[in-house]
Amino acid sequence: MSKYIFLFRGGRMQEMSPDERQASMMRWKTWMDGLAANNQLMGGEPLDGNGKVVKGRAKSVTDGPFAEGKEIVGGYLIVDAGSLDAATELSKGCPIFGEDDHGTVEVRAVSEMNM
Amino acid sequence: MAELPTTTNVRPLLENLFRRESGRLTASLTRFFGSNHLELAEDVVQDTLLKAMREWPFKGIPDDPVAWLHRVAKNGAIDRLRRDARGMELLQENAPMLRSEWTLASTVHAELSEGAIVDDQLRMFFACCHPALPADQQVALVLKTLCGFSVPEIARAFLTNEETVNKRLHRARRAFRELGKLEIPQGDALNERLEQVLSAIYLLFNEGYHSTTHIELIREELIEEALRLNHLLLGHRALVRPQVHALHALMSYHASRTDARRDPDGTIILLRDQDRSRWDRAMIELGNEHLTLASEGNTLTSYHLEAAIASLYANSTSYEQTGWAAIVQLYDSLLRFKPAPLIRVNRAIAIGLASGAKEGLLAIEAVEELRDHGLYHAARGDMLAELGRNAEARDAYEKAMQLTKSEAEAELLAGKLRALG
Repeated sequence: MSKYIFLFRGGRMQEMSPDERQASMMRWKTWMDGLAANNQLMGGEPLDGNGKVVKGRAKSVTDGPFAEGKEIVGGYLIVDAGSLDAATELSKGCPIFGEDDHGTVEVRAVSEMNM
Repeated sequence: MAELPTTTNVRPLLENLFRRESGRLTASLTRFFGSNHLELAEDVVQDTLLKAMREWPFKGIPDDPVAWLHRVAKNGAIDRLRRDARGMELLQENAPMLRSEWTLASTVHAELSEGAIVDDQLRMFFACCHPALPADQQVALVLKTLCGFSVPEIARAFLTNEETVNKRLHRARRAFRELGKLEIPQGDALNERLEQVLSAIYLLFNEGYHSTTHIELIREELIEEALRLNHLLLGHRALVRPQVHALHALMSYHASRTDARRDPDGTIILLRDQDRSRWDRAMIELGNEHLTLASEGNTLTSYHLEAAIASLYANSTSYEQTGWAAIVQLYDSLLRFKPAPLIRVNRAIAIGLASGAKEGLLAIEAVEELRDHGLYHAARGDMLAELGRNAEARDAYEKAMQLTKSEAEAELLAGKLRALG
């Protein structure tokens, strides 16, 4: 089995009306429930907008991330898929694409470590 | 790691849950924070919904979603009071109970108890309808704060653009901030304010019922919200006055025809041609009940008269059997309350049916103020067609077509022109 991580950026969360928020929440839930039903969903968390960035030898701490709202990772999922291509296909079902034309899902293979 | 979703925890969520709860929470938080911190209240509500959006897909929808939202909102309020600059400013103004870390959380929980929610919504509603705000601002603010509509949704509901709505909301908020503590006025002030409140409800309802956009969803939601807000008044001992019943009766009668007055393409079906079996009997009965309740005591308002007219329409078995003569008399009384040209057009139409098209034509032509209004020409065209003066009828319908902004109405007029041959 191979693990892949989906990193979500974008979405129009900030501008939605309550009705749109509810509809969006249901779309995400339906999509993730579908992954779970196929035993492909292995983990994941939503990420809050607040955070810190620790940098360099001095370990300087700043509030962050400073990137524009669209660039910030809003959450991640870990999925089980046969290949990078298969994982990429899976990611296309993500509701973020219908909600924000600039929304992205970054699909990354998790390196397998041979112990 | 969050508990992952399983397919077993999919439960249906009430369709308007977020919208409804955001209105209820905004009302409670605004009462607690004070009118000058409306934005802070709205921010707390927004954060609450964002948190639900982030977490529910992962963790599943909570067993009691409403309780979840309220709990998170309370915690959000506490958080803001501790950390947010505006929250701290609020603390300075507020009771010592909030200033101490020992009592802050318990005070917030006690203040924002669920039992107070209905009253909170009423306070908020009455505050939004303060005479310092013009009617269009009142309604925009009610829709934004109490009904959970977004700016684009309000713009669609009122067939205007977002910029206009933003401007209205900006002005409304400025006036609202000055109100201070949210309260339902008492004594004479209550009577005056209740009048404003009822006209705001009726305005909402009419936008939903008569607006001729194709966005069905928004229209139905406006009707539903108007009924819901009036229902809040009906449930309050000091507010349940005869005119509140009368307005409820009126809206129920109209709402009973929501489905029957449109064909599947959205074209308007006139009362004369509606399939009466598609009228919602339960809504008509509800109207009858409230009209009876409205008649207790000797209050007579324009809502009573409009409801009485609507009741004659709704309770008659056919268009021809409708009590047109009684309707004309009721319109005469209504004109003493509201001498509006549109009411005179409707009265003229009723005269045409009670006493013939010749009388109706005279009555309609007397409504000179509406000569640049599509409805005037459409009604005049109907009378002329009935009198067999087809060429003049054609002119009138064509004029009406030029004047109407609504596609559904234009479609209807085109049908009438075709019928003239």
